Amino acid sequence: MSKIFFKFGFFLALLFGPLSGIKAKTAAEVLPAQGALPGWEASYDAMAYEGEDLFFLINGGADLYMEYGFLDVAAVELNHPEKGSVYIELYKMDSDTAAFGIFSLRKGNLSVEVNRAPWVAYGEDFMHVWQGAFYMSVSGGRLQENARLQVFAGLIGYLAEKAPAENQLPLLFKKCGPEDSKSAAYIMGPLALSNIYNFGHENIFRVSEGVVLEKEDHLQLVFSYPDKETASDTFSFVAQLMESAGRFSQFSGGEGSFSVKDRQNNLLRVSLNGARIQVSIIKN
Amino acid sequence: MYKFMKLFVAVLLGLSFGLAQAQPPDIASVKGDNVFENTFKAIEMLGGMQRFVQPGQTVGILVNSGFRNKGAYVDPDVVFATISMLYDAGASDIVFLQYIDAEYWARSPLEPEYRDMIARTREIAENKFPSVFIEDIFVKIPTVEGAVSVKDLELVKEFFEVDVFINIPIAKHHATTILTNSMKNLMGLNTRASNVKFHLDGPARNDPEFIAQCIADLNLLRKADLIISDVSQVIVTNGPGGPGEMVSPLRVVAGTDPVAIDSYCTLLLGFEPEDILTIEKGFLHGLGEKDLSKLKINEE
Repeated sequence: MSKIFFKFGFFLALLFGPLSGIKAKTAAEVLPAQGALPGWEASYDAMAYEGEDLFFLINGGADLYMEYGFLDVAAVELNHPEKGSVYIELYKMDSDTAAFGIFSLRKGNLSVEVNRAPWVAYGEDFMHVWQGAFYMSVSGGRLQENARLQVFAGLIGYLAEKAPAENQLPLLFKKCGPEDSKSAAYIMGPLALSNIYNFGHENIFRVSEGVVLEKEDHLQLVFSYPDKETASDTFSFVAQLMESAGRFSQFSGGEGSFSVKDRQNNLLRVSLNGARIQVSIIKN
Repeated sequence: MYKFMKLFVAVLLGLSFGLAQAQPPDIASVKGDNVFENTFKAIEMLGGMQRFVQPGQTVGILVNSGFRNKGAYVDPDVVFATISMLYDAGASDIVFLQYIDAEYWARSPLEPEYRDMIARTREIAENKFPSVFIEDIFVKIPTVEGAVSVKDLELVKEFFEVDVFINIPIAKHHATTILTNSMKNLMGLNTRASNVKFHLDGPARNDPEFIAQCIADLNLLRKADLIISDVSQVIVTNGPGGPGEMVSPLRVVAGTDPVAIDSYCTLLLGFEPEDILTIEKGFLHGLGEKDLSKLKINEE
């Protein structure tokens, strides 16, 4: 009997062990803080916030993390007597896709170095990192320039070791090529969409999931819906609204697709495709 | 007699026309590469700083300086020009109502020239993100007369004590309110706990209607005596912190009407005024005029 129990326990541990080991870790437990990099000291005890307390860490923009699905965050500054200082924020999101989403939006137009995990986007003196359910933002503006790459690599390695994960893209990316995946932004609500293009304060596309692709001559937005009917209802609503709203003009088209111009003379082509709506914005 | 009447009417009409010409504009908007000079010109177009500040008066200034990315913070040159004009006009005491990091000033090449002048000013250092209520620094406001949504506020006390209040925002994108500019900038006077209420106490979390109403309500407490908005190089996506897509209207916009200035700047950024709920809520509160065709706007 005890043998069966043991075997069953072993089976459970195999099944859920790695999951619980990774998923249960909070940002504070994974944060590269005191002792993470040899020779580097934390300037203060790491700060940690959960849920809505995120508003006490971020001055403007906390609502966006909430929209994606935020769990907790930890932040710290590390100091080195010769190499300067680096500020790290590590966010634990409620899913890998949420972490990818905030990573994809925050990185903006930076090119991404793709690995199985983590994904990294380097800026001049900062970097964004996506690793499983974690998103890490690192500001190295006060780092010695020659130390920057070494420090960034150390932080990436630390995160990869502490929170091993295999980055999985959202299902919506299944048909995207590797280049598209690197440049795309993944949105999970109207606030994220407002960061890309402003359709007004009302969520006219009723967007809860979408992808934004930078094409050579246009921006492509694909919104995904639970079923064809919801997509079709939303499409009809948007078509009616864009035909009558003063902010759009030159409405033309019919069933399944139409085009309009916005006040900046950008051309918007909107089309219904099964459970998806696609919007191409051709910049003036 | 008839001839005399005609002459009298003509003189009256001439006088009123002359007065209308001399009347300062509702909005002064100056375009150019030099933000420092644009600020001077904009205030001159409004009648000069002496119109707003009398010798010996105390002045409180609120500057949106707390972001690191270009296009997300007010160009320090706008502030250098403003305090220079204020001291020239005879201001006795200038206090920044929110903490300003020393590094902020160093972003301008004019910093060495204005270092001593900045040293003469004071700041409410305790109003630093995420500010917490401290007796003597903040004051509790349980209700705001005429407010629809906002209550139990905690604000910087000196906001109510200074003779003159000058609001210096940057017009830029904000994910929830679309535009942040003169009206929303007043959230910089609140403790963090008060600001979080704007986001969380509505019918839904981050409800745009509720946040806009709270901002308009907040503006009922005290109207700025002067607003100087930086619309030189600003982000129109990924706000309020950026980095985001930039536009360069290269303008400094000044006036006293927060609704009018927000409406005007909305268009400079390529947004639609009807999307900016704070404009409508502010207009309904009687804080200003949203219809730009009813305003005198001087552009240069």
